[in-house]
Amino acid sequence: MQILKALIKKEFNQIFRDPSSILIAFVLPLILLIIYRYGVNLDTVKIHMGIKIDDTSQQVVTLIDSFKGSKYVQPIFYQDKNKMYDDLTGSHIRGIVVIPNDFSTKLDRGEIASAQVITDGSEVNLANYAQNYTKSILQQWLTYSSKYSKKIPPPLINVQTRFWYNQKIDSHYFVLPGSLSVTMTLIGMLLTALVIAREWERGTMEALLATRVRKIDIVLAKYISYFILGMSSMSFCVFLCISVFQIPFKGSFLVLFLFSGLFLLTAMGQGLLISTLLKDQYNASQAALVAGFLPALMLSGLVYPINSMPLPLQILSVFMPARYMVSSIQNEFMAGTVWGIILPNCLFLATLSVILFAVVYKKTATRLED
Amino acid sequence: MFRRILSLIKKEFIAIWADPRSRILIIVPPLLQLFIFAHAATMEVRNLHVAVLDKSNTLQSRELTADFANSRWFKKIIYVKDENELAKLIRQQKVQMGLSFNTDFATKLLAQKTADVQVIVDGRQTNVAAITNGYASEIIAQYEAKSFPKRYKSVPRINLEVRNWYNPNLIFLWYTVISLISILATTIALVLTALSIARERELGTFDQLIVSPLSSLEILIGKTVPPLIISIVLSSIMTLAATFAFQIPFTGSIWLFWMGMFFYLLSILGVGLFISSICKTQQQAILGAFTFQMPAILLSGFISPVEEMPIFFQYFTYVNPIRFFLVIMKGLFLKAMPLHDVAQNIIPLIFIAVLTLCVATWTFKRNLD
Repeated sequence: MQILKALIKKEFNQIFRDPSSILIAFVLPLILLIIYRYGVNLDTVKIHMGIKIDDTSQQVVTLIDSFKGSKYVQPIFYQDKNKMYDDLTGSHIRGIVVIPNDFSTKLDRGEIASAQVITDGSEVNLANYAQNYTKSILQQWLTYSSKYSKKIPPPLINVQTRFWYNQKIDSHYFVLPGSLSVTMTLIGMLLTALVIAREWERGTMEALLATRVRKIDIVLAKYISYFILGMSSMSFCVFLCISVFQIPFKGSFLVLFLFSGLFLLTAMGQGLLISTLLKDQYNASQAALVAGFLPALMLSGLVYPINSMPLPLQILSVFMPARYMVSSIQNEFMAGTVWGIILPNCLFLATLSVILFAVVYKKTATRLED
Repeated sequence: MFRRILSLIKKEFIAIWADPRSRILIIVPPLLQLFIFAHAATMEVRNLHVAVLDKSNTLQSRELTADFANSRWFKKIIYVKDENELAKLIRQQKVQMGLSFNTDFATKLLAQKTADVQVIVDGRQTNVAAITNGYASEIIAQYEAKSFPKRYKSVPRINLEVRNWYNPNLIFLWYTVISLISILATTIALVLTALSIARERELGTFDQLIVSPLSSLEILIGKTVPPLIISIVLSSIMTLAATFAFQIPFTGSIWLFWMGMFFYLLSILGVGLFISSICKTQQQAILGAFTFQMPAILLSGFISPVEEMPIFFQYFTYVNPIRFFLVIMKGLFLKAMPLHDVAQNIIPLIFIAVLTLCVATWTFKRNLD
């Protein structure tokens, strides 16, 4: 016990005397949360679109106003077609709308008027937005225009949409808590991947092994100290999310810390395992990046929906601890504790962390020649 | 001088190449990631499950439900008995959407009165919810137009012709692969440079370099060239994979591509050298690299367009090399981007490269003396 305490103290000295651990545990999460909150916007993207209107009739003037007044489109009006095409190639605008000169004549005659939208397919998301926004602006304009609205029957089926758990459809509610799983993977996996490798690389492991310290003490000391660091960082982030960035929290803190703790344990297990096996910081950090960080970002459902992935990747994601963290934390923030989701997630994380601990313990060599 | 630099470069290559594990860890992961993540990273929402509460239970409501089942986005329809069951399925995330018909749905429709349909989507996954809602509205509008053709005869209508330039079928994979190549190239270049000096420092072999006849500038050049070559070669391999394995058209000039790649990687190497020059340990170097890379990727236009960001963040993007490189990559792959548009993005990269390399040289020299 005494030895364990001393070792933990040693680990903490190492953590506090290296500014980079504080950087990764508190400064980077703060920067990322600020960027996620204010820098990137996933919901209402206002798209710069080039607009060329060849129809000079009275009705179409109001269409220009519709484009100008739109929340979703920043219209730039062009006279010269080629200039507009060049700007699309140069990525200055994301789409083009062309209203031909017979547009209103055809509408007056009760024919189908055609309009053209050209999108920049190299930005697939924005291209979709450009299509849909143009479609809805034109439709709205038609439905409410003084001249044509009388001829348009109201829709027979009225769709009443409810967005449960997130009435404002604010993606920040989803992204900010979710991003905590990335931060915790960084601390839990990347940082711990370095620590045992560092001891081997610098030869201090040899010095440790020459003392009366037992294997369990070495492993536990690493687990406990980095667990405390990780949970402090996590509490700091949760505090920021709730009180500074005003993300509503509907769940229970107890449950939140329970699964976060379990997740942190699995991440640390992975990190320490990499570290123990590779014994070299350079390789360990590369391996942690590849095996831990990028999958946590791409296959966890944080950015890309798991349901839409091809089946082999869906199966692969089953083994990603980050997946369970993302799903749990988003539920806890937005819907409150849903035991049907939290319990299986916790069960998986707990099992994995126990297995990893056992493997780390077994693989920690106490003899130099291993 | 050149012989000295050359031998340092040779030494660097041996240091990276001699260890089979580090050899594997440099080559395999980027390619593996490219192939795995290219398929994972899709914003197309598919395989949706819907819970249907059909209190109307008429031909009309069943037809509309069938239209959902037959669309390519929805995979499974689960019929529920009451609101509670519907709520439970959504709460447990067994379904992504709920569809509910009132008892008078069909009677109202047949009487040409407005009938309500409730669509409930799970806002916990905001983007999926918004897209699912879009699909639902489209299916319902099409059903209405199909079932009541008379009502929509001789109504003024607009037919929107859609052309998607550069990627006519809007294949998401193209976008993902091109962006991934840029990001993976960044990681390779950044980590290689940031770690190589920090490792030598930590192991003490850096002192041996300092006492050698090499000047600090020569050391710097010798440390920059190998990662530059490795990352250019790896990015070219990934680009080949993109054109041959993923069948993505490469429409631009290959020379402009290499030129853009060269200056881009140079600016990243500058950042890497700067990080390693202020770091004493490998831990600091790798964490420092992360602290640069993650915000830089988020603010590059990869996640949301630059012109949409608040002004403060837009200023930051002017010194963010990834921002310019993404435009070049997409332009040269898909848009056959002409020289002057590419130049508009390469010139800032040259400035950033000069800036970061100068700052790195300065801090490097200062820390040596």
